[in-house]
Amino acid sequence: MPMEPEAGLKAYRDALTIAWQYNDYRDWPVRMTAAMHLFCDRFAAEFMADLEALSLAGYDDLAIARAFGSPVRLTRIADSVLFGLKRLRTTLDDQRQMILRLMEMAQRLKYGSPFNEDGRNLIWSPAAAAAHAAATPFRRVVGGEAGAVQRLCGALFAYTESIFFRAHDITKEFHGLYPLEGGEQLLIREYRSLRPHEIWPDAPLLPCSTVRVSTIYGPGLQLDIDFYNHLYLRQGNYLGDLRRYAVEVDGRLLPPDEIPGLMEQIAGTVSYITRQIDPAPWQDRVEKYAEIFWFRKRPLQDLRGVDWRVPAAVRERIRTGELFEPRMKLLDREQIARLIHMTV
Amino acid sequence: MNGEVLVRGWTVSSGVQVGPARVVTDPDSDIAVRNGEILVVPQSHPSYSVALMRASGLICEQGASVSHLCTVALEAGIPCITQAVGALSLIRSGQLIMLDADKGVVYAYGA
Repeated sequence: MPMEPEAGLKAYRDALTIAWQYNDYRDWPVRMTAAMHLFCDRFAAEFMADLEALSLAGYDDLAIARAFGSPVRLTRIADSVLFGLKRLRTTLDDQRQMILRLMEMAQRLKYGSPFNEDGRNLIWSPAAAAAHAAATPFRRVVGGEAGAVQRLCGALFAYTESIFFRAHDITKEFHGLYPLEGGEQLLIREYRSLRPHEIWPDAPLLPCSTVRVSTIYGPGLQLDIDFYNHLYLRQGNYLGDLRRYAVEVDGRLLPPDEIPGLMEQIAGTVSYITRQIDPAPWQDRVEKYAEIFWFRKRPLQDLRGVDWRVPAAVRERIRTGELFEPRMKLLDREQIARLIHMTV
Repeated sequence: MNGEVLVRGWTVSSGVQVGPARVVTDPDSDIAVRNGEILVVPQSHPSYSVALMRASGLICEQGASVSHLCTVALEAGIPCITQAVGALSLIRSGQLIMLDADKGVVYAYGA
């Protein structure tokens, strides 16, 4: 069902307010807001053209959304597209239509609201969550296993930032908390596209493409997940509340004694990439960001059957451009609120 | 026993830990954090994440609660505070400290 425009836009603004007010714009490896002007207009123009071409080719929005595979990819890409549309001087109405369309597409991939107003990111229905809990061969936590599992989760999170910078929505989505019987709660951490050789041809990337960490916590854990997939622990503690878990790597159940090896591989990749990126000039870092952005919208190009790579003109513009210094500074809450109001 | 309050910050990930501090200011240096040390850093950087996996706690001088490094600490179940203003100058490497992330306070310990 289409979103009611005013209500949808208000929900989007409210969700942005939560996602941005606790955010940190000391971006690694470069402050994105200071570099966006170098490629976001072209990015948004292509994004719009791709959607139009796919619609003309008979793809409906559900098929397009499914190509992204994960709703957070649509909710998080929206503000980048919006920034580009503003640079292109499209009408406010067109910008709002794009936001609503992307939010509706995200909604179609989820059981719950795309905006996570209640702090839960519900992709699965209660029945689907219960079925997953019943079908998964969970291991009961013994000894120090909670620490090992949670440190793996931390390491995987670090890995996503190192390979996709702030566009880590390409690779991960956390969903839940799904209530289970007896007050237990299911939280799923999905990691996809963990081997982007197109972006990092020489890096020692993980040997697997997907990792799913299914965790069941006790009733004491209170965790909110906003629509950007930020986590806020309200009460309890992962270590104390973790009861059962299952780690699947490319669909294979990972035994606990293989967790340290996986963590070692993750540390190797993170160290390799940061050592490559940190000494690089800002132009290289922004160009890498552009590659990641084009990879981010690659599902559209793949559906169309066209090349997804960054156009040469964009690379040239980065090479000859400048960072926009005024956007290097951090915004306070009032400025963020004003920005959101101006955004949509 | 805990002594004077060294710094205060915002709670990101709860828990209480006692251990020697490890102050690191250069993400590109070899960060040889030993198991059980409490990592003290200026702000989020992925290099610190690798070191964090061996640490028992994290104190960030700057950065929001959903900055990447803080989220890594949260995910890893490692007690963490951020916005701990002055941490880099008030805490010394090797100093025994208590990080009470539940209260958002760092104490000198055992003095």
